[in-house]
Amino acid sequence: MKQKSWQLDRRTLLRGVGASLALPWMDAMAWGENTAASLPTRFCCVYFPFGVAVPREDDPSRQWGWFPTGEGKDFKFTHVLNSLEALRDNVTVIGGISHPNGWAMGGHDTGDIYLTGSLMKNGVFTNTISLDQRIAEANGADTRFSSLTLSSDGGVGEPTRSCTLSFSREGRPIPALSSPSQIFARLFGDEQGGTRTQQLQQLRNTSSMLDRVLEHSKQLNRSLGANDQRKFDEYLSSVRTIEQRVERAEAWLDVPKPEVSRDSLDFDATQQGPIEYIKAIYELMYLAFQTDSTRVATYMIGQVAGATTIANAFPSCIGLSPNWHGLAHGAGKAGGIEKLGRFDQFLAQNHAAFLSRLNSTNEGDGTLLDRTIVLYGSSNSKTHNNHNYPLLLAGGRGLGLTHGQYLKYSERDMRLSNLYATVLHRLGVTDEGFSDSTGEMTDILA
Amino acid sequence: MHPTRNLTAAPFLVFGCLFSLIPELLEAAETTGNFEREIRPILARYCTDCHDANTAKADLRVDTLDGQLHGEQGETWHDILNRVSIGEMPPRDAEQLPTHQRRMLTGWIRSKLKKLAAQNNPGGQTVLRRLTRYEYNNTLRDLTGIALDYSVDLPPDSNSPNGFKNNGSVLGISPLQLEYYVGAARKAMSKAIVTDPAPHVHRHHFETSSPSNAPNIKTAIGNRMTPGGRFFGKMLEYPREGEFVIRVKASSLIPAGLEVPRMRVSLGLRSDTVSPTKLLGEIDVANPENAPKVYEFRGRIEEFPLPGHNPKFPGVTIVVSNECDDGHPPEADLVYPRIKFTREEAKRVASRAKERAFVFPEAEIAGLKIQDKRLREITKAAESLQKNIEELRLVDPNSDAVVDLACRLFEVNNSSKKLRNSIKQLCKQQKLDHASILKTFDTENAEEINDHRAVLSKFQHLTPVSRKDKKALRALLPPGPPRSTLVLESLEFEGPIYDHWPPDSHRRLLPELPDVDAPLNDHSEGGIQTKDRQHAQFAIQRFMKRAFRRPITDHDSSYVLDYFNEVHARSNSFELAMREAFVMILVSPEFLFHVEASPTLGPRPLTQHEIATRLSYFLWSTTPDTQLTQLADLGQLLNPSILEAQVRRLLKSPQSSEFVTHFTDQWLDLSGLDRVAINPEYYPGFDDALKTSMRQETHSFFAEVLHKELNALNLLDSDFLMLNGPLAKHYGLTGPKGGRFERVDLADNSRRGGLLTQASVLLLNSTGEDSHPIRRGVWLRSRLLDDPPAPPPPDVPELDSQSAKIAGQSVRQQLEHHSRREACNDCHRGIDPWGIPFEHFDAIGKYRTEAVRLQTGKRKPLQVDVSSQTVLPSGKSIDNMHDLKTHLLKSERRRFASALVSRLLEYGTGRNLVFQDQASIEQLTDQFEASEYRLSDLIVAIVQSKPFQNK
Repeated sequence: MKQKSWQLDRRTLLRGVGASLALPWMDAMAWGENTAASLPTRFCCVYFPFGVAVPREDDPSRQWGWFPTGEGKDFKFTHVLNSLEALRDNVTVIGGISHPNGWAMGGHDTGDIYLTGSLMKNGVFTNTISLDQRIAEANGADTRFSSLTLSSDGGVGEPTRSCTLSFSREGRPIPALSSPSQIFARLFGDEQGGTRTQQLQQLRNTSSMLDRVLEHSKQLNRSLGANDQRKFDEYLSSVRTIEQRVERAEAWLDVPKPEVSRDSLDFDATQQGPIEYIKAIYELMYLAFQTDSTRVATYMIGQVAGATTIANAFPSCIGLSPNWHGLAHGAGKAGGIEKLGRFDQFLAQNHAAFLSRLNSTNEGDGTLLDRTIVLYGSSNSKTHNNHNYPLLLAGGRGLGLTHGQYLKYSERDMRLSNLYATVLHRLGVTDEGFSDSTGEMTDILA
Repeated sequence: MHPTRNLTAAPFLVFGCLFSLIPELLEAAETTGNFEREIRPILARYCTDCHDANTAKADLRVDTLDGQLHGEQGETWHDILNRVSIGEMPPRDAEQLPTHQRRMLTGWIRSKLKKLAAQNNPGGQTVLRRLTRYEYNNTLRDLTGIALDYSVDLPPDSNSPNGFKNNGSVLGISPLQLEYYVGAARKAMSKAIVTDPAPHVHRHHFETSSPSNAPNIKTAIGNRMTPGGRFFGKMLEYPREGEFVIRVKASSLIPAGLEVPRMRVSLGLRSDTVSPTKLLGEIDVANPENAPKVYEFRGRIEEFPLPGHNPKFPGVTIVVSNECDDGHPPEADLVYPRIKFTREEAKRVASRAKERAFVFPEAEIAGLKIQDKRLREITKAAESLQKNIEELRLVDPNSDAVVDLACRLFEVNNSSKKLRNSIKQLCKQQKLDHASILKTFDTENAEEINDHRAVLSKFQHLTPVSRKDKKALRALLPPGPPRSTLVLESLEFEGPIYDHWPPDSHRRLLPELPDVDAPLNDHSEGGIQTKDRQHAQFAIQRFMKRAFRRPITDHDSSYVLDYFNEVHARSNSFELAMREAFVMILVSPEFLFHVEASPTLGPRPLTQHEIATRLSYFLWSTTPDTQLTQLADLGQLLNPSILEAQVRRLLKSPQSSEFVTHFTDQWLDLSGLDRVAINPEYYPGFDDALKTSMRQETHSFFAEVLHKELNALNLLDSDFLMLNGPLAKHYGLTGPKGGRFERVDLADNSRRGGLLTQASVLLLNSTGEDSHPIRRGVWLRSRLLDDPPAPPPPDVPELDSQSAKIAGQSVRQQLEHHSRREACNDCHRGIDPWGIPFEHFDAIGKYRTEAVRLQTGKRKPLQVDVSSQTVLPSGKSIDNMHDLKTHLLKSERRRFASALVSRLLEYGTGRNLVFQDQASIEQLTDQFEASEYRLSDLIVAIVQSKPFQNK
């Protein structure tokens, strides 16, 4: 890539810099165009299943409840979220809201609609576009990857037990990646190899190949039965999508992938070692943002099916038993509140570490966090209860958000899609709302 | 705002029950289906008070319902079903539904929903099936002849409602997946078709182990490996791709009654304990030392962790280890008698040590500050030396504690050395001449030094030994118990290996044109290019035939050939263009999917090639082999006896382990083993590696029944098991030693036998702490009897296991809470009794008479009696697992047989079964019974059945 001498190539900047070292490289990169408008805006969503402990205010274990005590600016984190105290001015806790469509759905079923707000009921398994994909459609064109979809289980799972938070415009689940080493290779690996000419050649080949396969497939499609055709549509649209991706890859061919050292963290971690695994996934999302490889990321820590999600066994990593689903069910009574609270505290600590990383990385006049909106939460409050989602919104101060409050709503007055509509508006995607939104959540605006 | 309906029903949970053909409980309550006569009166009496036009509580009206379940009313019916099922409606303060009416209402809704689902069913046609991850992997391996893990990056496959992964309706495809398909195909082709000259072959030979970098290895390193012991072969030069072979010449030493040494070979980075290595293979080594054998392991080097191009720790290491557990700890503690002194003696030693202390040459060091660190060191060393001497003075030189004595002598030498060294250091620091100072020191302390010599002279028969030198210490001690020892004579590495170059894969994919002198009739371009094109067409059609699993015409291959031409013209390389052409075939839909074209509606018979494909993926999970394809080409698969012979051939081949593994995994939900974390507080010492053995037990057991043509009722109860060493030990049975699975006959009164008491099944249906009778009951009913109970309604309250009262109850007593609430009891009386007979087996599948419950904040665990007595819904009393097995064999035999038939048929056809299949299932079950439940006969019958042979 041709560049003026005062400009720095990403590769130069990141060379030799360990993954754990956050360099304010964007400052140098953005030289001469350092206006807020030209800096990226980002969105990240992390979801956890099974809900949280919601003890009564006078419960002796209240400190192990997820929601803070107090309200508005005058609130106090409990033990669970106390790792966020240092980030107080960068986070807002939101209580009382949910997706009204989820009220009519099973307690285990709402992970699917967490980012879509759709109604999936009575054998209607079709979903609609998720918030992150809506953002990626609008803002994802400038990065190598339009979005990054992650989950501990990987793949798509089954409807109402999806292992992904992201759904395409057609409402199809987008498979999540789950292996840190695979994600690392995708983001930063040099799997193509070969010279530039060879790589370009290969992309052209792929493009032509897919074109021809698509033509050929259309003929085949006509010979299929109706049920098969429906299934085959998925194939055809997948081919079309990667054709577009190939074009994108061609455009990105001359931009080297950021060089990130693999040594700084255990990217060979697996779900069998949840402590290292969760750390690695957060680190990868951080690196993806820091290197501007993508601006949209989702991570589903687990899906709401005790019987099938790998994450069900996660609590045993900090000595809690029997399993996540069991902990959540036990949280209705004494002792159980603390147990679930301790696990939620562990999760919150990981999340807080991620936010701190974003917040200690400079970008423009602010930090990465200032231009990243991070949503953290679940679609259950207590187990199986699709109301009063525990939600933690962070970042985006450079996008007009304000924080440092605990907002308690009544579900008659506010719904989750209104928050999503606000997020879309703040990220400059659209001011036309999202899903079943009825307005915006103005309390979080500066 | 949205309607304020605050019902949180779970319609999709209910969806699961639609697949149950006839839930046993509902049979009794099944109504004639007349809404007006039977259902409306119930609604009118018990519901409309609150839910009519006037009140419409929760925004719900039941007075307008007309018995139609489709459309908008469906939602309402789902809600009603759930509310009523958990006893939430009618509310407590209203008139309660009598049991009979409640069952009539819920039974009616369920049967209606079931019918509705049947109507919406695609009608027993297999929906376009994509290859599963493992099918894709096997197929690509068989097409290219290169065994790599091609599916590593593919997203995991979803499960059908009955747990099957090869069900067309759940096998989706996404752009991400297709992207990885392109990548995997390119990877395969770049290895199968070569463009480079023959690579250099690396050879290494080891007879002694390379040193290890790890500081804290406790176990033996070297040629003689006791359990945990290791041998390292470090290679600085190694190939970066291709197949390699490792040959280990080894033998073993097996003391009577101990396990067979299990040799594990792995390959990876540094020879550390923690650095990444990947398992290459494991095998029991039972041949004695005088008859060493060569064990061979093969792999692809690129599948193993290799260092980067400029690594901090270069080289790769082969690790051979002895993984068996012979019952002794990996490293026995060194225990030897120590000399003890009485309190009096100790006092005497201390005072004498002070009395006789060395004198320092004062003149020379007079000017030094007494606080000087070195001075303190000298004092300390002198004192400890003197103390050692004083102690030795008291010891009888012929004491039995020879090892301790030898160590003491070593310590004396050490203190003496330390003393002199400290003096030397001090002198250096003070710029004094240390030789003269030491001389003065010796003269001034001549008396003490002579005394030391005198004391030590008593022990001249002993050689000093360091306490840290474990090897030397061990040599002094009497030998420990004999261990299962793996003896390695030599270790050899060779790679990449190939018989000739280009390798077989290359020759297979790019075969020579059969007729080299084919006429060159292309005038527009050069003759050579035309020949290339003919060659390409020939190779492409051959490959396509296997990849698409059907005959290929010129028309079929034209789109691939066009692409070949394009790439060939651009790259000017025949091989590169062929690679690309093959990649294109491998991302074409006819490869990725089982395409069974059916432009017209309704079922049609499958073509010969489609049958060959179904059959091959059923039993081998891969593309049909040459023989099967040829028979399809010749149209001979229509002949039932030829088809039968093929089924039997496939079943007999080792490749049928694919069927055994995947079918049992999916049918019995064995992957659930990974989802249950065993709580080490309850089961200290439980090794997660045992889960692998548990899973293998079930595979081997099913394989034994299949291959030995045994009665499939053995799955319910058997007088034998398939066990390996660790598992036999786990069950407390005498069985094989080592890791290999062998048939073990059970005693007549054995508690084991059949699937129900296998640790895999017991563990996956546990909480990781205790049994889970509900999960076990549900598992038995759904997996073995094809009778899944309705899933739990949302918001089911759980028992408070920490409450003192409940914690002290047996699980059976706890479950009795269900029977106290009528609505709970509706479902649970059909579930719990199936799970209670398992109660004598804990979470890891061990037999128990008491359950252990740890209590928060209390040290002493609760011991709770275990009871496995119950009464089945049919009224049959069951005392224990033995009774249950007997009952199943006697009274549920038909249901079990029919369930197994259904599951095999579902797996074989890759689709959900529908009501239209019922007749076939009945017929197959009859045949199955008539053949004395032989699985192989059943599989033959399934392959010849209508559902299997029709699209």
